[in-house]
Amino acid sequence: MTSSTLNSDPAEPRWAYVWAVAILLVAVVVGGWELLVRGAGLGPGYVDNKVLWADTRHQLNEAGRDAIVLLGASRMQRAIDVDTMSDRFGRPVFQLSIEGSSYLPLFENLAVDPRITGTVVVSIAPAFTFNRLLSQIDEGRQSLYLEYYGNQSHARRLEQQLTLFLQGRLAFRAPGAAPAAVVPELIGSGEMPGRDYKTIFRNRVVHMDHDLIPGDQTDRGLASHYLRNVQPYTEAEFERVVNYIATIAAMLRQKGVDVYFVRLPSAGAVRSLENEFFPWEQFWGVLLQNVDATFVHFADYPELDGLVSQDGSHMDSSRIVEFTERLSDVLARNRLQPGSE
Amino acid sequence: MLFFAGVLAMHALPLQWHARKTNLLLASYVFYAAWNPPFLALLWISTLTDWFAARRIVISSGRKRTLYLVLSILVNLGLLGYFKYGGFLEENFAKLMAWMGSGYEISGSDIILPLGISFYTFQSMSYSIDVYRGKIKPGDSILDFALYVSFFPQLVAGPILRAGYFMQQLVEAHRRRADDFGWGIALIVVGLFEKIVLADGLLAPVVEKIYAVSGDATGIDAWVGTFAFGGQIFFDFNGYSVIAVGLAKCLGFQVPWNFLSPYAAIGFSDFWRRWHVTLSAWLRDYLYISLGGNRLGRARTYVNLALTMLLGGLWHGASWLFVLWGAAHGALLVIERLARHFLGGVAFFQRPLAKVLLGLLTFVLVTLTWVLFRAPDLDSATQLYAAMLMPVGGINAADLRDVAVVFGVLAALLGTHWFMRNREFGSALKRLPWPLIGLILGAMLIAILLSPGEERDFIYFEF
Repeated sequence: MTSSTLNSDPAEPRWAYVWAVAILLVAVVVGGWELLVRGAGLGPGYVDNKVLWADTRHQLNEAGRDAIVLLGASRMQRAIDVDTMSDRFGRPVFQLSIEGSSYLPLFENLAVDPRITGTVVVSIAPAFTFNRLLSQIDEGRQSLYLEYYGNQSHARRLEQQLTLFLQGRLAFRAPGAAPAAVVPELIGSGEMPGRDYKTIFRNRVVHMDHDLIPGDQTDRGLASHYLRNVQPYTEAEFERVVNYIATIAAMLRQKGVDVYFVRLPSAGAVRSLENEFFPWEQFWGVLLQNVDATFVHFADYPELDGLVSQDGSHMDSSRIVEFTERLSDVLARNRLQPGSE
Repeated sequence: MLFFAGVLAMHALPLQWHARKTNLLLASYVFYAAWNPPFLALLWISTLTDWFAARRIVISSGRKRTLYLVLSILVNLGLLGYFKYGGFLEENFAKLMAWMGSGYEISGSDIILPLGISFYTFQSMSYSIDVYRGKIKPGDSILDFALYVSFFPQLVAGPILRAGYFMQQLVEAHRRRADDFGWGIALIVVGLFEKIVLADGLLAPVVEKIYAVSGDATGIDAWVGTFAFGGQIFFDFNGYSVIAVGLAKCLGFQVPWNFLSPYAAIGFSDFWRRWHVTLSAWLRDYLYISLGGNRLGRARTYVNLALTMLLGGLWHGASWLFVLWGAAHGALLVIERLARHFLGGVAFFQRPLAKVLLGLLTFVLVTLTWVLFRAPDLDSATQLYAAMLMPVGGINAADLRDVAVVFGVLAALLGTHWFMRNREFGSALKRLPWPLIGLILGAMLIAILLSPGEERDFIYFEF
């Protein structure tokens, strides 16, 4: 195949007609598909992946001293309503938590980036900070996100904006509404798949509909899953982790960043399990003694309790605005300042 | 795409040819700078060096002439060596020193690999070599030469152009043809379909799943992962190359095809005439022939072949795995030559069935070498090869859907390559009725739009 042969015999296709047919077909099929999936309740939605995360991370670079950065795992991502907190402090808030992951690689990334000068609020989830197994497995995910963010060209960032623009407006761009997801379901059950149990917003706030989540979504169900992955650090291991966290926190404070460590509430069987395997004096207490930061534990603030969902671990989505207001009050009492303007 | 639409609109303005070429050059620099602006300087160093060297070569004689060629080669290979192989060399030097009992501390400097450096240094350097060999005369316009080195559709991952082929297209203004635009857009759609739907949507998830757990992969997993990557790398790289041809075509330029149905190759020399054609031709013309080619006896021919493939492997990346991959292809080429020498006269090998069997053998062996190309380290590659030899083990990482997808796509790919083996894409497409072409392109566009998979860079952007 050589390009020069493109112009040789036989006659050239009638390109105007060719493209008219192609565009008509695309309009009919894609337009029809959009109507079909919207009719089934599969509206447009964002995907909580490295693209959305990297976009938020880039926005943070421009925010300066006023920025409030939220770090952690799913518990943090599903607990804070970014707009509510932003309004409360008059400061831009960036949700950089990543579901099912340790915050440590990103914590270090913020410390070494000279553009980060605001406030960092870190959620300490025992499963990831005090627990050997999960923290080792899941540091990988944040590293992958950071690698993607670090390698982004200006061109890729522009392309990313377009991707996000389309994702927020077209239902067929949502993974759950793609033929690859819909057709097998249609063949298998004869019905269109229902809407996803997770709704993701542009600012990375996540709402969960617990009635739609497959599997046992009670606190007992989550606790039994949790139990399979519990492997608390030994004293010596945790000492190393604490030293590392203390070093990073000191680096951040040195450049004027205020650091908050927050232990978000859990409930029922999950709270019992956390209390049993990660006792205050062996973990949270050690962190508090050795790291120069402000600490907020839900046990010290009764107003933070009582809004956890049926799974015992994550905030009830219908109450995250309320929880964010309460947590913001607690943080304000702990000297988290309003914005400069 | 928005960038390309802008360039296309600018190129269509009723301006002088010189102004339109200047616009294209500026657009190419903007395109490159969008990745990392400071590295634009490297592109300029390469361009200016070869522009200057070629002009001096023509007016010099004797040793001076050769010195200017050496300057071009040193500058281009120096850039490539520092940015691509600096870390690798230092790391291996440190290991050697440690082995000899003397300590050497690695500097720890994180050298970023400039996008497309392996492609544009080769392209720029070939100009000086061609002028030195008297194959072409140096151009009169630095604008034309700079555009040849930096032409954005193929700047970052080829096809690698030759000055004699491309610069002559820059001399006179093109008469714009509507057909070029029709073809160009069609090729872009085909390339995007290969990349987004086939490579990224169907094959990459299977490959990633299996290579992530290479230690636990069963025999079936390993074979599925290996074949899946064989398909992924073709669709990924061919997709990019076809898009490059299409973009150039929309602007009224010809860029050579990089892949000529390679999985229908019969033998490894045939494979390299069909796979990454512009790189293999470059290695043949500027390395293999410079080493003596096949002019110095059979033994030396084998050495030259092996050395060319070894360096060709290293060109792909600073890793011993790429060296091993190149060595494997060198060995396969030598074995093929020996087989041709001793068995070439056997009548069986002339039969159509034997050719098909040899073609399938070539495909399987080439696919097996891709493990070295894809594996993150030698241990993972060894684990996968070991798993492939295991007769049992069921499926662990992959599932039946993966098996069906991979072998379905591969069967279609092989069928297409054998059908197209001696056909030209343009001619084959033109024989179809226009409504069918419209339906095919429309179906491809629909598949692209309805594939909201994860974004992945083109594999060859890393080289």
